[in-house]
Amino acid sequence: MKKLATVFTLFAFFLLMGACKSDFNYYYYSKEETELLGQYLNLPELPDDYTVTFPSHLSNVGLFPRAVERDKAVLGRVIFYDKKLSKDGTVSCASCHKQELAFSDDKAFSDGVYDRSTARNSFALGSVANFSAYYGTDLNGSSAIRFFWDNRAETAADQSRGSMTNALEMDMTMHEIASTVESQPYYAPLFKKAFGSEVVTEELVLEAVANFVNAMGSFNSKFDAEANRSPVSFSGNFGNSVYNDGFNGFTPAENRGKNLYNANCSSCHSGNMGRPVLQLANNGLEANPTDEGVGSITGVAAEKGAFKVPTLRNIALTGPYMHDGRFASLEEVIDFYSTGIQNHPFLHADLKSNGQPKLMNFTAENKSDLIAFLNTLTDDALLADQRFSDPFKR
Amino acid sequence: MRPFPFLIAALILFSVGCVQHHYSPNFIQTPYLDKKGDIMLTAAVSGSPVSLNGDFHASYSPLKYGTVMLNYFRTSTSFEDANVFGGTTYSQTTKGYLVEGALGGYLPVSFGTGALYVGWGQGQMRNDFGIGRIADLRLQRFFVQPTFTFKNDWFRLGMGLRVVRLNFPTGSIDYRIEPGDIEKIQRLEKESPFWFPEMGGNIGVHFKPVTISASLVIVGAQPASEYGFDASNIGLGISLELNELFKKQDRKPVNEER
Repeated sequence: MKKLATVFTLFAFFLLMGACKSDFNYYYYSKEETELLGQYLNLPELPDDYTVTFPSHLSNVGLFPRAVERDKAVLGRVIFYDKKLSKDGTVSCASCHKQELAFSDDKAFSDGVYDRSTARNSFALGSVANFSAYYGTDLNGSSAIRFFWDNRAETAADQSRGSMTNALEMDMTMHEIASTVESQPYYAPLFKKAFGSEVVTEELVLEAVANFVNAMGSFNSKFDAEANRSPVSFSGNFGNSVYNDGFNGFTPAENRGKNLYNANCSSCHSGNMGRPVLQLANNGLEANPTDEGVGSITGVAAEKGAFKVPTLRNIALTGPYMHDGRFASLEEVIDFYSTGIQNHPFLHADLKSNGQPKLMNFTAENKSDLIAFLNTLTDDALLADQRFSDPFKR
Repeated sequence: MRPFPFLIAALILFSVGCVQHHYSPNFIQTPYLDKKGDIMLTAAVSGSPVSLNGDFHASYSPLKYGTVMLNYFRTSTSFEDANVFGGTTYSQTTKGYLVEGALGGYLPVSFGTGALYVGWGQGQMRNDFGIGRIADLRLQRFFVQPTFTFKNDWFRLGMGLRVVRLNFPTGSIDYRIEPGDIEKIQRLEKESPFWFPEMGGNIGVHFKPVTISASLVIVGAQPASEYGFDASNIGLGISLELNELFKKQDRKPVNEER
């Protein structure tokens, strides 16, 4: 019996020895890579997780983001903020897409290289739930949403190429971009992690940026929190699923604003802030538009003066508004839709009444309520998200 | 009987798959010892849907009703798989080992022998996910194992239940490993140590002093795949009961005298 007790005491001792919790060491960069990157960049020791998971109110209506490849997004983040990738070394993607402004710019026309100005207002990357959910036909059969105010790009990679090579923006050729990336020492380890090799090609640069942009997601606003708790009252058209019932967490003004929005705006901009219902529309900014927008790309007469319809996430932060930044404030935008829509042969039907531009005639209280509602679309988490911030040591 | 070993071998061959794993069970050894001085050595090959393994085992009864047991286990997998880099194919491997010792007691009864073993050991599981992305985990295993064996002149049957406490005390992990696999490892880190049962046994044909046997072990940690554990293992083994060999040699002089 004594022997048996000794045996069990011995093994209890072993058991005790192994009772400590696990302590694993995770590493991503080698020591040399850490030292090299540390000279230029503030990157976390382990890469950030760029997985995008939509809130239930979006996934419940069939909207899903595509998978983001983490290591490519890490590389894309550096490219996105790298001013060396412009002709005079003064402009990066982030110059016109500022995180604190939901990746938009507060100027009507952004500053490009050599003090040039861009031709249109910077599109807010934070105005969408997630760009990757725009690609291709979605589960509801809606077709892909395109990029740029004139819808000339099909993917985030195409869009990035367009900005990098635009003479008014970064003014580089893609060959120059690839060469510059190759010449910067901090890209070698990042490329190796992302693509398994240090070889830089134009396509890989764009793929990395696209992964970073596709990782951006704005779905943590007050609106989202309330929408997650609320049933969709009407779901006839996927893009125009709206919440007719009041949100418990909204103020009376915000709920009144939501009702006004549903009645007057959601048929174009979407009721659930998922994908815009319309790809493009002529919203009657001018009777004779100088900028023909989508029509200038497609040559289709009916599309002249039509522009991309955005979703309105973070709209309170992304002024000035419209493709040319003509309206400085939300009040001005609402005033325009209230009484200022101009007639145009191809003015969108939703903005017409008896063949004439619709007069929404918002009262002062209506305007105030609408703005209260639009403010619920602000996503503070996106603005402060370290994963999307400038990684460079300036 | 003849086709049976070939069937097992075929099963092993076809069941070796292509998934990294962080734990693979060795066989539940059921030594056929029932008196002082009995010695048994076993070598076995086994496979599971994710691994190909080697099992080595020695047991000895130095005193009446008392046993010591040593187990050495190797597991390995090697396969080609497309990874994230544009579908390029990379070689991926798993290599691991476990060394353990146990003390036990046995009690022969009329229809067989009951035994209880208590053991402890440690080892390593090293998964290479391609292009140098390695997860190297140390593991420690404590177990309590009741068994029952039956034997006659030509037949061997052993069954056992192994209650395992599996701990992963340290690990070194390349974070480039794909997120799904990292999640498994983080789950291991968070939830270790694990307590779970393993059940198994072996059945064999005895040709003095050798036994050819087929073995099976099933891991009861469910769902095993969430942790990257092998869920089962089947294989073929050969055992040598040295005491029978020595007995023959001992008898020889007696016969010569006659």
